[in-house]
Amino acid sequence: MSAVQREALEADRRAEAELLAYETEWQAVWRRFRRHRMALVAAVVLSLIALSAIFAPLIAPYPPDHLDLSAILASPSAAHPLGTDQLGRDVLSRLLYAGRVSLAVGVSAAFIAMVLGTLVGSISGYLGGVTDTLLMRFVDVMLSVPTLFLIIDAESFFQVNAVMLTALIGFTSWMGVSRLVRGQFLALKSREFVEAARAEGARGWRIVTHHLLPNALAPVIVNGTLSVGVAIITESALSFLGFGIQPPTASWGNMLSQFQNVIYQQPTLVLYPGIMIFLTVLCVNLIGDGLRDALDPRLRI
Amino acid sequence: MRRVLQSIPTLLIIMIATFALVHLAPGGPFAYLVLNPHINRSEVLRLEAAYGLNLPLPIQFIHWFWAMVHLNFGISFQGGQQVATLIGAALPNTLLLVGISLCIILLISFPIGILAAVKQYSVADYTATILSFGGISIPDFWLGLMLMIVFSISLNWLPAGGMLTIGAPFSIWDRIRYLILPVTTYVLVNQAYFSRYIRSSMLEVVRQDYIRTARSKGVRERVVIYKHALRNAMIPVATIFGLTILPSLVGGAVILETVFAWPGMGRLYYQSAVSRDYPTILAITLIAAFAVILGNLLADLSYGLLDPRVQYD
Repeated sequence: MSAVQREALEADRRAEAELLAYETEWQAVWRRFRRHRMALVAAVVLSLIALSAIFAPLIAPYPPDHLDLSAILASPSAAHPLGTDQLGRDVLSRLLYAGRVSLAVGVSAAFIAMVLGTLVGSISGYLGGVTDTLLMRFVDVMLSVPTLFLIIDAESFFQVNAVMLTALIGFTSWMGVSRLVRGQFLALKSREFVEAARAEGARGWRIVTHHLLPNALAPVIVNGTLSVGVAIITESALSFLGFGIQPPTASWGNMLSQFQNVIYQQPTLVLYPGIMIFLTVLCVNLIGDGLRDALDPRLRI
Repeated sequence: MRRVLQSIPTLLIIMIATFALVHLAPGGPFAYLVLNPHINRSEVLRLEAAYGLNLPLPIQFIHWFWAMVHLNFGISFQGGQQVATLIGAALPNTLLLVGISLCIILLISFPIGILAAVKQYSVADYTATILSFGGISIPDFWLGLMLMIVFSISLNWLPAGGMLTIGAPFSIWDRIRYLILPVTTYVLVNQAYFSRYIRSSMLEVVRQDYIRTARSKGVRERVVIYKHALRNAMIPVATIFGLTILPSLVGGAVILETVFAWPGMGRLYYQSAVSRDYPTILAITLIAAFAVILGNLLADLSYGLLDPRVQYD
């Protein structure tokens, strides 16, 4: 066996060992996550909510805009399990369809925030210097205006659809992640394994993607999970105030504001969308808490 | 001093950005008049001129900036009142609502947080944890609506909204009746963050070596917790209070005030946003941003006051 072949074989074995170590790392995470009973229950409940939203067209007894003018504000019955709204639309069906909107907006907005925050935080933390100062000043500016004000200010002159609303929520909630990633980068940058990689001739991009990011990912994932909850609350709050998803498209928030108008006639209606928001966000927060413990046992507080 | 100087450009950028954001908007506050057949184009132009909307933007900004410095926020597009007057009327109401709520939050979240930390994994800790998870996850407007349904609609004990009984003479009890529901909602939702924060801050401190030293010296547990631990745990907590209290005091709780029709800053902001009342929107946004920056600054300074180890360069 030539030296080159031996070298190749050795590299192969190393790569395999690395892969195995990687798998066991995630297996360990899963093992630790499973120990968190509440987080596990939350994951199951959240999956059910997500499935009911995804398969809404199959489960829902009526299309979301189906008007039944003979049953306006009807109480729960066999035909309408949760009753009907002011226009005679089936509340259960609308609740399921609203779940699609609220979940999609929440998850996408949190994803945008996570990606944007990681990007800004990486650049800031890795480059340092003037770039860092400027970017962090910008973060300060963004943080100085309360998120709700920022979005409503922007909306008082934009005509906003669901996609823009999602983008707006994402663009106004990435600052925490960017500070987190920046902090991690600053701490990791001078560690030995990064020095070693640099000594081996690794370039900036490779160091960022192969050495710094993977090690900074755990808190980002936890933060990203929790920000799904925040995004869902933000969306529903905006929709509730009339600055979010516009009717006739149903979202949990705008259903709440619609039901608030009939609070004296059918007070129970207010219950349903609120429970959906509460349950979803609670599950997301519990999962985030479980993930925090699973990803990094040292972070436990 | 350097921190003070640092916050000035932040504030300036916010002022320029807010101004630009709102003024570059399509469809000004009089756009709806164009649709009215009784009002012709020149009439709209005359209105725009009266409000200075036809001037070049930089000039408008300078006018506005100069006025801002003198707390002259201009005239509201709706009803023609001075924005400063509107804010002057709304601010005390918000101070009352949020001030009382924050006092109650401080009173309850300290015992909860300390108890949960000192007796970690006890029943009390789990109860506190469940409460705080609930508080963080519940949408405040929904909680408000539910309390309204139970206590004002079903039981008819408390008013559903507003601040006072119209026509009735002023009385403290009347005011309290209107305060109970919004304050309860505010406290239930926000105590979660505070008690959670106090708990983790205490846990962090209790693990430190000097606490072990104090205990091993035979200092009584009560003294260890309240004198040694609490004082150090207060440092990060003070920061969070600084970051939260001022902004929420002046910015108000937009959603809560809207739900309970509480005539404060939050509701004023909501109403101006609905009617595109730019001067009022701008003024309230700016005041909120100013409060955040000031809160940041105070938090930083209190850090040094509470912890002599912190040095400012």
